Amino acid sequence: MSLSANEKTALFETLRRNDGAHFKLDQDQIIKQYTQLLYAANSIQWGLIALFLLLGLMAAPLAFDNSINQKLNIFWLLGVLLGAHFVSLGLWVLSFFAGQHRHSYLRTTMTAGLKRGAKWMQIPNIIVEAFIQIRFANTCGKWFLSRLMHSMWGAYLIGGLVSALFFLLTHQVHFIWETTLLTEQSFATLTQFFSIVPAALGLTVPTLQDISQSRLDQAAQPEAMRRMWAVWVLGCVLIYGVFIRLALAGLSHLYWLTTTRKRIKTVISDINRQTIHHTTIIDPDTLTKENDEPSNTPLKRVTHLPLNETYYLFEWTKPIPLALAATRYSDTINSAHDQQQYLRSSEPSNMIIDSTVSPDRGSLRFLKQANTTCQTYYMIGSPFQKDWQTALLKEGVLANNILELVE
Amino acid sequence: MAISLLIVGHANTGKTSLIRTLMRDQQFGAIDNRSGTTRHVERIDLIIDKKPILHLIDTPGFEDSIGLWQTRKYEAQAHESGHNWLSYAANAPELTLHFEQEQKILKQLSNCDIILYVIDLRYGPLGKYLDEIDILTCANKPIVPILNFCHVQPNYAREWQQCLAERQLHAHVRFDTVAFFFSDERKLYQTLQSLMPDHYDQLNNLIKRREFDAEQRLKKAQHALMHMLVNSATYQLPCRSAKPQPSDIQQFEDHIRSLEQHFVAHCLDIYTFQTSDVVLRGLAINGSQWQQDIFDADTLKNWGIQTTTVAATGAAIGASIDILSAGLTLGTATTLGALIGASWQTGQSFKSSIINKLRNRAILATGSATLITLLYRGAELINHLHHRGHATQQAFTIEDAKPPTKEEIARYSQLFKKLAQRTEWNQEDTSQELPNHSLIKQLQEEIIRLNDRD
Repeated sequence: MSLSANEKTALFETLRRNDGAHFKLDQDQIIKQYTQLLYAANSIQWGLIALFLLLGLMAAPLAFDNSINQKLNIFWLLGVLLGAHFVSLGLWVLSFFAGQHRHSYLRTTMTAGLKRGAKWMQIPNIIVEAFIQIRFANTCGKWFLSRLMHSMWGAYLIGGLVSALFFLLTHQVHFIWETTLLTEQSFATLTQFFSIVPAALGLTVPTLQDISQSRLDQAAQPEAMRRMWAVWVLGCVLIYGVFIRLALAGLSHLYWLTTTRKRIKTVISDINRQTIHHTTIIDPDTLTKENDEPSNTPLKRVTHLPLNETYYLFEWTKPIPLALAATRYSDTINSAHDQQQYLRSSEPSNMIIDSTVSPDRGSLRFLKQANTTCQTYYMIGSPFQKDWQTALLKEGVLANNILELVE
Repeated sequence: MAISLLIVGHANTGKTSLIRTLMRDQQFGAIDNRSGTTRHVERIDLIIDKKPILHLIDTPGFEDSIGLWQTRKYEAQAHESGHNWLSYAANAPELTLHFEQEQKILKQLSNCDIILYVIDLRYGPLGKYLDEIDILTCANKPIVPILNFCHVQPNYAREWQQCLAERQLHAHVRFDTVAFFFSDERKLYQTLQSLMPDHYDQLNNLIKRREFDAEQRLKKAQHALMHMLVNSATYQLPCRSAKPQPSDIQQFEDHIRSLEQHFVAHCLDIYTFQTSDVVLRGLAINGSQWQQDIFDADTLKNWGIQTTTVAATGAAIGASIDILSAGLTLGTATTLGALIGASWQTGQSFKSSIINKLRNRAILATGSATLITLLYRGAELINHLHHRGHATQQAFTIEDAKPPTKEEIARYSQLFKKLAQRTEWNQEDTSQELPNHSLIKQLQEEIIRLNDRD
């Protein structure tokens, strides 16, 4: 049994959706186990159909056993062969149009049975879940169950028809009818009603005279009448039983095929509709990043600044720190122009650095140049204090000249 | 043909984060608070319906734009046009020693359609940032400033907007790679539309697709929450005695917690986040002994509807049994089977309580308080994930959500009380559709209301 390419794609996509990144099974293994499950499910269906065929083969002879002196009640026989079928059909129609078929007990039982069977076959539960979702969930499941039910009943009726045919080929029976409550007229009307479709299909159907002559208390039937009743009974079973069930089974199969294919296509079109992305490195990093060991020396903390010194705020856009209020605060160094101006000055000064921002190459280049005139570097803020300390030490700043200013 | 967007900016302003958020891909690139995390140029192609729509090019950050811009004033370059200087600076071997990282950016300038310049609004406009813009201007390509971290307060949005306006950059886009809103992303694409009118339809399709994807993610997450709540509300655990033992309670609580954990994992998968992105704290389970509310008119009415449904399956079961025993009784027995089937479903909810009552055993079920908590936590998680940028590094903690009002509690309690009667709706397979029932619709409306409110 081979899977279509679409079903394979839908299977992998369903597994991916259900289990996300955790799903790690080998693809060939998945297909093998899924196919095994499919084979097992099909075998169970065929097994059930065969069982119902067998039951049908057994049911008709049991009904014929009821005949007394080779006299067979026509409507009793029809009732046995078609009664249960009509009741079941009526209930199926009701449940089908009630729209809640999907929550039926049968479905739950079948799903549970499938899971138990898969466990016995050592097939992972995720594959069973995917199988159910692709072939059995929602509308697919509704038509799947309808097909199975009609096929089973179809098989049962075919079995009954075949065994009835065989019985009538090998036995001579008189077809009679009897009633206590109904009138002869009612019986005739009922029989003629059942005869409409067989007559339209060209079968010989009983006339009013035939019906009248077949009453229990009438004389023995001629051979032609017996044959006519036998054909009529078999025709009724064929038309009202077998044909209806096979037609519904076929219809359900078509709908199941359509909905399953639609479901598979939906999964596939979802894949195609997906928004995906690919990445490519187009200019790789060729330099090895230097990971400098961070300095372990804790910075000396100060809360006040010496008053008679000059201070610059380096790359500073925040409000001016309170600690600078009483000092000779000069200016900010926020641009290339500020940097040039600072470097042109030879006056000793101090630098206040915002250490909530990570140091970058440009800042460090300037601070290295400024080191000739800058006496002390004060750090404000903690996230990148160690990075600044390490970088400044690397640029030749003395450890004692780096302090933490606590506000 | 795909539009090529070059993502540039100072080091550590969130260029990689922007791409992660736009692509909903947490795995793209590397993110760190320190400068110089991205040291290579990487292109990410956004493909929709098998067609490439966007090329996003991630670049290393500028670190020394002041130094680089000063080379413009070299005697040999002083009289060259900006474009010529850019060609020189991108390839000059003498600049590689100090500006290798910047050269990687400059080399890409000629290949892109639009430059997205990422600005970290938490910091004011320093000279080095403005020099970066001056350098980029030399490429003669449209520049769209992306104002990142726009939801952080206080920020320097006004100062930046003024600086950008002075440089004739009026069309900027506000964005936040941590607190993500789809409207920001839409604004970005709309800005691109205005800059590239030839690609208007292509970008329009992209906007529609992104909107559709966002809606689908929300719907899927809400559906998962509904499943979790229905399964929690309809779960019953028969105890081993009339009084629940600690082991029974533990088993019950573990089951409810596992349902919530499964829901969280599902939501993370829908929104393509990692397990580490959410911290799930223990839920205080309010397990209560369960009592059938047989007097609830709505419950009984709906059981009446169910009777019709199950009758057919009962007939199938009856047929298979009766045919084996006696063919002559087939019709009667099948009808009887249908009747048994009908009462099966009707009595399903009662069955376990009656049997356990006779056996003097308690049944555990989830109390309304727990279910309301699950509802609130679930809705809050969905709301968070819906607006969580894929660059966010801080884990979201699901704590007990803000308390509902008295009216809401009454409404939710009533809803969950009715749901609890529907034990037949308890299903392991969350891919199955929930019943088309007024209670489910009501639950859905409550979830949507909570998400809309947030």
